[in-house]
Amino acid sequence: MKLFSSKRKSRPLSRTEALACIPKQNSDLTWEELENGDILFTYPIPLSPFFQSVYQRFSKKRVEPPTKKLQLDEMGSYVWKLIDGEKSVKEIIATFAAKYKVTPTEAETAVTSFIKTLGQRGFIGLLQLE
Amino acid sequence: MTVLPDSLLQETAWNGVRLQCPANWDVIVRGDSHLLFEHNFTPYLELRWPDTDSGKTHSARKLLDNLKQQTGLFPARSIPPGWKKVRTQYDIHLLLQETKETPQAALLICKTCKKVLLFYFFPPLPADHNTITTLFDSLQCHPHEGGETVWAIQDIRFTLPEKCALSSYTFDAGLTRITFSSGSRIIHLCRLAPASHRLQSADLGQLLIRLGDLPLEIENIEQDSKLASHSSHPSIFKQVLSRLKRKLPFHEMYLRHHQDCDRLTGLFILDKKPIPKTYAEHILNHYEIIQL
Repeated sequence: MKLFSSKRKSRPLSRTEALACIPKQNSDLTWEELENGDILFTYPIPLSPFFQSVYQRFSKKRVEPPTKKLQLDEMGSYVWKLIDGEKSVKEIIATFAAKYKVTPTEAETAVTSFIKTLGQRGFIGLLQLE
Repeated sequence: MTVLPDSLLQETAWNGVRLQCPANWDVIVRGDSHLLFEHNFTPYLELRWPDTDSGKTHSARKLLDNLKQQTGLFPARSIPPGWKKVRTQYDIHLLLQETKETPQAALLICKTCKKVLLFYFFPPLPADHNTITTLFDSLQCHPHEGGETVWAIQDIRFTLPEKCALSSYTFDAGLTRITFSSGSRIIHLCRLAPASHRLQSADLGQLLIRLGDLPLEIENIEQDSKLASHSSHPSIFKQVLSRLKRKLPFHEMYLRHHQDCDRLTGLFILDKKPIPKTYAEHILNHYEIIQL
């Protein structure tokens, strides 16, 4: 029934289209490179307004929203540094495969699942070229 | 017909089918009897063959009719001269688009073992038809006398006794696992990459315990810089206990470090009977990393 299907499902990307996308880092995200080259993210925990007010009431010092830290390992940090808003997913996979001497298929599995996770957390966006 | 030099070819052998394709192609396992060949992330060729153990018989005519219906292709009236060598071993049915001369699909039926192989080329068709004929010339679909089966996928190659049946497999990032069964015996093979990265967090012995998923202590592992191994010789009491727990009491485990190609290869054999040492040694001797 059209009346209740307000959200129209977009067509999922084909593999070729997904590989041609260009990932771009979220400019609002705070991250730093540690001495060992690993990447450390600091990002706010999304709270609903109700929990936000509860948190503010019980927090003594205050007002900064709670944050979470996430440290990437060597491979993840390498991929993160490759995400420059210019390289496509396909190019990142090829560079990753060459660096770690793994097969392109393996690199594709690793990089695409990592990019998917980053996207779900809101750390990156994907630019789809026409 | 020009033949590609061996240095530009890679061998692929999966579940009884063996062929050579250009080294820059990527081979993806899509199923027990389904391979996809890609170049630069673009699908190039698909190969399917029916599972011979399923007991189903596949009529070539029926398959051909299905294929014609699904793809809209037409059967070729004549076989191009480049396919001469393949014709000696296989009955060939080619399918092509009405306006083109290069075949887009091929149905091959082995004259010896009657295995049916279906090849489908994704458009645009390769301009160099020699690549295709080189691939078909190298095709083998049944083991030769000697009874051993060669397996070569990604960058690993090994030989197993013919009676070993493929049970399961996973191709994760940096970890390939393939499991076979032969009677009560279970054979796990794995390959980890890159080794340097894996060995940063654990040594060979610890990785062997982790991969083997058995309650072992590090003291029970024999190891040096290139090999970690363990073999069990349980007492009668432990054998009975394991059988009651439905576990296989005998096992042989090996994890090797191939320093020159930065890979780790593992072999895990489990059985309810003692495993002959020569059995594991034979597999290890024929289990290698191919430099692509």
